[in-house]
Amino acid sequence: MTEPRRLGRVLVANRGEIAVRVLRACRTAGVAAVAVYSDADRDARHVALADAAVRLGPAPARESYLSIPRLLAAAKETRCDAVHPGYGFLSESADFARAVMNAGMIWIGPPPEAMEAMGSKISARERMRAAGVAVVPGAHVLGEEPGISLNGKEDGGRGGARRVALPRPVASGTFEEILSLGLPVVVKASAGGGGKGMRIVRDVASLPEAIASCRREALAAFGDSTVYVEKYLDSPRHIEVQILGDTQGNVVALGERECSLQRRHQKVIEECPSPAVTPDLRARLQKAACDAARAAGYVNAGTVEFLLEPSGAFYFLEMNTRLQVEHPVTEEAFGVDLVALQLRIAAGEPLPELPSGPSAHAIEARVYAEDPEGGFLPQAGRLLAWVEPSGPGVRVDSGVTAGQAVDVHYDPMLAKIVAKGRDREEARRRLVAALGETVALGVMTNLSWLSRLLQAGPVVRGELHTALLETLVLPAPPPPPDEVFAAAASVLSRAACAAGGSSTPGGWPSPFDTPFRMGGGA
Amino acid sequence: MRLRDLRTGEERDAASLEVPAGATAVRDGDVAWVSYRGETYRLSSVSTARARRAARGAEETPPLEAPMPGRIVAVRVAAGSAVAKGDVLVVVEAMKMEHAVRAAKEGAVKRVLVSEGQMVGFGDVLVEME
Repeated sequence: MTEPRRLGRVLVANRGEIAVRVLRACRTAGVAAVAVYSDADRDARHVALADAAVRLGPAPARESYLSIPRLLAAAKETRCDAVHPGYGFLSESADFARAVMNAGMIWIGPPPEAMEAMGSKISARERMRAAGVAVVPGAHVLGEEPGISLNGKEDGGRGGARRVALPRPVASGTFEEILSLGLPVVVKASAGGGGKGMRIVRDVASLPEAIASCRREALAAFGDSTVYVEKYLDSPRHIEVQILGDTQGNVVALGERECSLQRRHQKVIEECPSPAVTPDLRARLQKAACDAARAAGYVNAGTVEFLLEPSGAFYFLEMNTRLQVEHPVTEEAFGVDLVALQLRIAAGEPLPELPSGPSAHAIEARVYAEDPEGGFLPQAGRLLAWVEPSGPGVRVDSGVTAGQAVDVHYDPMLAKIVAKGRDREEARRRLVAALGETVALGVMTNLSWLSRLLQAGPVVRGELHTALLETLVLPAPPPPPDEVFAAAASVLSRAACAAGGSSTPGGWPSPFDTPFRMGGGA
Repeated sequence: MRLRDLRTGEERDAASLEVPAGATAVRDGDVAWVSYRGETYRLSSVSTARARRAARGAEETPPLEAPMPGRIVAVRVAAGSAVAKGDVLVVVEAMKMEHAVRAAKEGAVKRVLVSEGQMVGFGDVLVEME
């Protein structure tokens, strides 16, 4: 138990839309907030919104947003007394949490011990099993075994500054144990999250490469190449429970989110509540999540993820010891501000009375800079035009502005568009309309794909499962009508007249190239 | 002005030179980006598109290019390596996701132009084939 302690100034150790979200919550709470930025983000929106901003270093995350010494120096320089990590980057680093606390500041997140206990997927599974919660069968751990590849060949060409650890040629029995789970299996990073580093293996031959590339991605993203293997359940729903714990020992659950619509294990659409969860099932999910959090001494916001089978059986998947990307659907459905609650919890205040169930339905779509027609490859470039939607029930969490570079160094998510309604269908229709209003030019996005996905039969009916996007065929985008040819001719011919000898490569920021938009009232 | 839609390849003469109601358009070099009724389109003038196709057609065996800007995390081949169609030659990582660049057909590697850890831009040549 800690004495309530007012937060004076918060360092927001993140970028993009989540930094904007936290900065706004600080402002609402009357707390000063300091932004940090890399050279790539000098002109970013989160920098403009902060009371002060500190440069961390060059664009690569390792030298900026992942550098604990630089973040601590920034906090010290601006006399911050608390740090909010957002999600991603160092949000699940117990080392960072400890460093912040050792520097005499408040960590706006769970205690480092709880992060370690639940943050390692392997130890979290063991704890949950001990607490009587069912876990997905599996967990064959492959620890650090540097230098030798699975097929037994010496790993010649690597070495250098970034040595990649690879598993030994199948230690006696391990291979058989993995296969005894029955294929398919999934290889996961122990330190992972956000779907990064996961590989589904459907045939024996591809297991070695799956483990090797999973390690590589895990090492790059989390600095830990430990991986484990578990059985891959076919067609479950991904259901996660939002929990909050205060320093007085109270733990509450704020319902579930359904995040079954995933592409390559990246969530694309999330909603609250789940169309598959009855009040009775919700009560059981919430109890399991709260039991798990209490057992780990959990404080602040966290999420317990489950896989739900059609039979109603659910298995613990992992716990995320941070705020989730998709937290807005819970906020909208329950009418709460989770980041404000995080600040109050961190200041030592007890949890206030919270709604016992959702009072609306909310759906979120993640807008990514990617090319759905070209294998969903991430896109980089300059956002030449960006117009956000609005209207009843529509919320946009974004960290971008027109003219901004979309950089290859960071996550390709541009914004989250959220719609709420009295019921699921109203929320869905509002979200389709909001996506249609959104304008993003200069970088290809998944806006149109998201809109078509939200109008697909199984999605309309709420018949969701985690493998749906592997098989669902969406209609192709429509061919351009005459109006589009006219609009294109207009800007290209105008540019040809205006350009003369002074054309600007990339087309920005010539004064002649501001977007031309006609009102929709005609 | 005759224009080509870059996704479908459809060519059409623009009926007018006005930006119609409800459309947003912007020029990016020789490409026009247009947002209209919830869809995004990219078009270029036909003369530009033709010139590009002609330039591409002049090359005998197209070299393997970076599908996106990113960092090289693995190089699986060296000059002289024999490869089969579909073999992974190079792995590029961007935004924490890996993408394998594979051999389009059976052959021998003439030259590898990148090394592990190197940053590459969109379209940079990674590997040349014999």
